[in-house]
Amino acid sequence: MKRATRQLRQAVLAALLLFIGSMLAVTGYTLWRLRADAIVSGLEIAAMQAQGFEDVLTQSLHVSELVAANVLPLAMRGADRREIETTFVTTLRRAPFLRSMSLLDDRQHIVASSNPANVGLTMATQSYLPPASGAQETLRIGQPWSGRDLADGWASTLQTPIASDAQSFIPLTLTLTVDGQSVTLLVTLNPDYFISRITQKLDAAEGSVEILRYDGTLLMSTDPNAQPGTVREVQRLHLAEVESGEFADDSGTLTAFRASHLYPLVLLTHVDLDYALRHWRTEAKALLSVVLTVLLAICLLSIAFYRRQLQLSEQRAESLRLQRINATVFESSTVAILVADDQAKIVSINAEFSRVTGHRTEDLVGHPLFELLDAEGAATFAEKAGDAAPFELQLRCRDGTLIWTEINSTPARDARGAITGYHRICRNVTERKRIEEQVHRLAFHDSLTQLPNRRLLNDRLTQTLAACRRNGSHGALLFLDLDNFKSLNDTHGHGMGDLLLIEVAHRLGACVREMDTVARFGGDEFVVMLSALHQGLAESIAQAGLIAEKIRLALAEPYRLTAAPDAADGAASVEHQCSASIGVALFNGHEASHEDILRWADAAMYRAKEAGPNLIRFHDPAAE
Amino acid sequence: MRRCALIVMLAGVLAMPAQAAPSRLEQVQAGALLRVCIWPDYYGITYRNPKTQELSGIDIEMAIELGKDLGVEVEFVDSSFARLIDDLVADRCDIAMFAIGITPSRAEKLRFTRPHLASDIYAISSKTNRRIRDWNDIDKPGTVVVVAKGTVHEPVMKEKLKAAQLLVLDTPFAREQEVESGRADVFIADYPYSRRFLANADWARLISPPSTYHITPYAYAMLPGDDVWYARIERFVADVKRDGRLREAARRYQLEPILSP
Repeated sequence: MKRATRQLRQAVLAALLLFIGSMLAVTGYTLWRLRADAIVSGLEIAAMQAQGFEDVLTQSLHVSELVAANVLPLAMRGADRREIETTFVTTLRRAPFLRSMSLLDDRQHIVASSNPANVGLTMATQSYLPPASGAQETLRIGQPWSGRDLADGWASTLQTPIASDAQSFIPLTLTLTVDGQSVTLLVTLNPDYFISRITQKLDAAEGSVEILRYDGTLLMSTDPNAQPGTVREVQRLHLAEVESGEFADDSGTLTAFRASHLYPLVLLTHVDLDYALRHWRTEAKALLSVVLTVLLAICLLSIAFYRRQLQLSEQRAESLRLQRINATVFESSTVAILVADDQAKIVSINAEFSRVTGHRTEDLVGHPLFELLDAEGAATFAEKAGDAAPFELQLRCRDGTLIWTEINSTPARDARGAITGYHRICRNVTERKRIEEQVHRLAFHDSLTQLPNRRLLNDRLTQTLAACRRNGSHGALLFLDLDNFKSLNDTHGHGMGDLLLIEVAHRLGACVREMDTVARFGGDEFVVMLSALHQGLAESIAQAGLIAEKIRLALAEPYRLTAAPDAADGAASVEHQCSASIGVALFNGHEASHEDILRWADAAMYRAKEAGPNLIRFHDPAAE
Repeated sequence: MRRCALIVMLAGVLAMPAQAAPSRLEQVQAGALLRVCIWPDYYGITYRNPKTQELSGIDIEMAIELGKDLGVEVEFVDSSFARLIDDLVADRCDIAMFAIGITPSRAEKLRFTRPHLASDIYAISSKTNRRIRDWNDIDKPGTVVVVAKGTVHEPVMKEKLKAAQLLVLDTPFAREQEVESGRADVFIADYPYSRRFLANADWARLISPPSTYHITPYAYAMLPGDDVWYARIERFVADVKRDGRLREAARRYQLEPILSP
């Protein structure tokens, strides 16, 4: 019992843990996959944005180059400063990504500028990238400057980068050399223009974009804390081999880089991992809340199931125990019991039934009860089909003998509770019946001669009187008293007397018909009742006279009485001569009660005794 | 020299009623043409979209309504706050209808109708400008503030700015170009201009004064001395205010908050 409970608990626990484990594993795997997807998609977004931003940057620089290509010939032609400056100002109106435009002579002096304050300054452009190489027209990019324009600004260095909140710009040069004479256009790039465009697409909370020169110098950044002029590590990008790509930083940032396809610039888009994973987080929370709720529900259900199973198993064990007790009681019962269902099919018999009847369980179970009934029993059973009251029935044993059983009934009901039949329990009551019969016998028979006693005689006389009244026939009552009985008792003892009485009873029985009754009335008095004599009185008297005569003769035959060898009397055998005085009274059921008839016969016997012995006298109504 | 010419012209104008010269109203109706001076850069008031060359704004609609009331065609003449007085004096237009701020200096030379709008002053900066966060950051050394030449803002800012540098420009859309390119930090505009401008410039950011800064009533302007013409225009302003045409137009251009009572 305890062990079964423990096993059940272990099984439920194991199944539950397995289920929870696998659910968590599946959920974990799903979340991991979703996270990987989110990172991939974040990198794709970073790459896409890098592409877009790079396009804006390159296009803007290209426009600067085109502007220079228009302006420089003007300077070559020797146009005056005012004309050039007007062109600059006009150009700048349509180029918000440029802050100023200036013209440098071959000594790097500013000779004309959109901002008059710039004129006269000397620029150091040696460090601009890419390095100058002959007469080639190349857009070269300088260090970022702090300030609004050249006049009020200063070039940043590694040691003195630009404060994160300071205004800055980036100088670009394009040199045209014709016939040994060179002019240089210097434009200052407005980083705000690009930062503004980029932050419209990529909020500071989502990530940042850095624009670097190929040497790693930070030209501008959307990060409000970045300091232009500082140097970033760009070696790992391997820009000489591949100009774009994306990677996830150890710092938890998704980075996509893309080099300008025309200029020595590279643009890095950093997407914050938290931002890239924000949808994933929402999904993960939703998924986890669903999964955890389901798991919790399943745990609770399992506990409920486990407790229910425990309860059921306890109930089952209890019911099994009761069944065992019942079976033990049933099997070990000293009463033979047969159980039949409501279809009168045998369901079970106990060992005692088997022993008493000789039937084996396997021969009976499943068979109809009718197989054990005789015609009378079957009729009784059919009659009692709808009856719940106990009744008695005889069942046939294997050897053909019958036993008495008492049938107790339990109603069988359908789903609505209506009685559809009865389960029958048949208990062997043969012994009880036998005792009952014995009691009955003792009450109505003489124990010595086994003849009906006075009480039974009265019953029979009553019945015979009723029969005579019905069919008009006559009956006769013969009252007998042994003539010489006392002498036998006195000389040979009561044992011999009893033997004589038994012999008399035997001889009386042989003289009458089956329907007649021979009773011992007491002492040495016997009564023979003849029924169904003739309807006519005379004929009846004649019949009764014949039988009486036959009796008188039979009883007058000598008697050889043999006592049992160990009898106290010693005499083993006695020869005895005996006779009887017989009084006969006829009746037809109308004129008298049975007391009267007995009195009549008794009186007639006394008359015979007085006249006799060994005489027959008829009742004479006139003489009474 | 220029002042002399002005005096001569003013003398001529003043002399006209004595000769019972015909009112401008009669001239306009006789010619069936009303010439209206506008400033085509003026968002929400008299704006010409450079892409389509179409005019829109509350005073464009009011001018058309005036033309209808007078039963004449309307011709729009490009002007600006800088050229306004010259254009009227030189008779290039019959009336200036572009929400002209009533200032004492203008009132000396022009006759204003009753005001139909009234606006405070606003600043517009770039979203990427990290130095200008609120109104108090504007008047600092190194800050460059742009105003359009001839506007109400020019004298107001000249007077109010102590440390910042004021840049007065006269080319179309110069204010926003200077700020977007980073050559200036903020430009000054009024309510209609700033609202309409911000609706389409995603790089820009509005900086409002913390409290009322300088409210200017806006009205239509004409040359003084023609009472009939003035009375007719005054009647028109009263009419559009009363019959809801002004409010309806103001609603279309989101200018209801600055409608003059």
